[in-house]
Amino acid sequence: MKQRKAKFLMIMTMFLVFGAVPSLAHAGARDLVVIRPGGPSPSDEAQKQIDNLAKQLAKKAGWDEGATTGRYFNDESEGLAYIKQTKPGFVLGTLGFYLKHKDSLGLRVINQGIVHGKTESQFYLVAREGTLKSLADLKGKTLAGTHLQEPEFIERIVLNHALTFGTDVKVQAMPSLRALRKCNKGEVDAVILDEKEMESLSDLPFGSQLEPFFASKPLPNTGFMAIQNGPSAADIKSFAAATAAFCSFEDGKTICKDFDIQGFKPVNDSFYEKIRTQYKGK
Amino acid sequence: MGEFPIDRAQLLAYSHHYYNPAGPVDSIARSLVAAQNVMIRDPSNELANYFAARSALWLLEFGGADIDRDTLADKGYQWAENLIKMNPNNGEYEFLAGAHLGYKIQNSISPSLIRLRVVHGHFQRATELEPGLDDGAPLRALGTLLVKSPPWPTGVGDIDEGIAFLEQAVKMYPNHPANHLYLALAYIEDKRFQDAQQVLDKALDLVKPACHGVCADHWRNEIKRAKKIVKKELKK
Repeated sequence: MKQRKAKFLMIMTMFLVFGAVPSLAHAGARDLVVIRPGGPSPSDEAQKQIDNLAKQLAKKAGWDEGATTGRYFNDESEGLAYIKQTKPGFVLGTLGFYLKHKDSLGLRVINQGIVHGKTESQFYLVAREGTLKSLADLKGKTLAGTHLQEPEFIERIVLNHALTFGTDVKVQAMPSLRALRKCNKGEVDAVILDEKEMESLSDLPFGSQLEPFFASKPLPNTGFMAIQNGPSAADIKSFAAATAAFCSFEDGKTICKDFDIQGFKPVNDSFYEKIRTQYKGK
Repeated sequence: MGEFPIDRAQLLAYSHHYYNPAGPVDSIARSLVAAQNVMIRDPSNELANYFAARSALWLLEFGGADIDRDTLADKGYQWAENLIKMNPNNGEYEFLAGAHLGYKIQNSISPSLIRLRVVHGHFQRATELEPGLDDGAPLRALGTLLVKSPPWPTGVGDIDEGIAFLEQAVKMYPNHPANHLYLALAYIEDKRFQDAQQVLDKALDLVKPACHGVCADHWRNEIKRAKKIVKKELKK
């Protein structure tokens, strides 16, 4: 039986009228920022959603929910600018974001998202049937997909430094479905997919014409992280305990159901030491 | 609000008379109340459900901040579902259902992907049955839904297909400013800011001849907001 899988970081999105970019409001050590590079646009309603989530977490943590805010960014540089300017205490970000900014922001992972019962996930490379057999075959070719919004993460962790982007292979960040269509037409040579995308490939009318030629090792999920010099140790503890109830929150329920999230498992930041070493260099 | 007729036929005529796409809000509200008054005694009156659903949608779009959007979208969707049951091959009824459920989802705290798929189904049917409604409204709605929804494999979102529907709306109905506006917004989503700028200029030119009153102000404000975003992005 096929198992439904999902990317290790999920974020809620919705069909909405386009909204203006909200003005920056001052954040605090108990505030939350959600950063998903290449994710859906941060409309007014998406911001409201994240803000509501932050308030529900605050309430569960025993804090003044009215004084707690949440913000969402799908652009890494905008998210970083917000963090540097307003200094929120917590971030919900990808493994790629954590590895890239761990040192500059002093990030500490508090917990891992549990997605379809697992705290790790894989990435895959697919190409038109019979065209590519290994990573070495990708040299001189083009790789596309939405996950290339975080190229350093893909290059250093997913592909484990096997290829140098820009030199060995040309990369193009674009929505996964667009990349797959282009691959099917021969306009790009390969596409990088996460687990859920890989599993759903056969649902596409041209899916059977593409085949995987590479699978990454399982990579640990991230979840919520504390930002250095932000929250106190006591607040981190309260926040971590609050996230345990995430899937029971008014906003959290639908998110967890739609994205197959079962909750968040506490984890020590040192758990990521090995993968950080891999990220930093060969 | 003043006296309303009592007779059903007169109420329906009254409701139809007060529905004017250019507004103002009070006029549309009258149309809605009159239709609701018919449905008190005759809940399955097709015309009353239709007048009520279309007035409710107008109010959701142009009625301003004082509207109870959640309740109105809820009721609007019920009326539209009634209409579909009465006439399953009416594209406008499918459009009304998709639009009301879309507004309902927009205003709920935790919209679900399943409901987005239902909206998608309504708009898809509307596009198949009556693409020309209001100069391409089903194409606009379906296109925008596809652009903004969670993408494959999580949801129905497909930015390329969405843009294709919106470009089709502009091609088939080039004089409606909303077609250009929503295409521009889709280009913004796809980071095609130069393309968006050209389309927005066209949209602004079209507002005055296409629309008067409340909707003109609404479209102008939306276009100006989008132009600000494009200007900021092109400066980077």
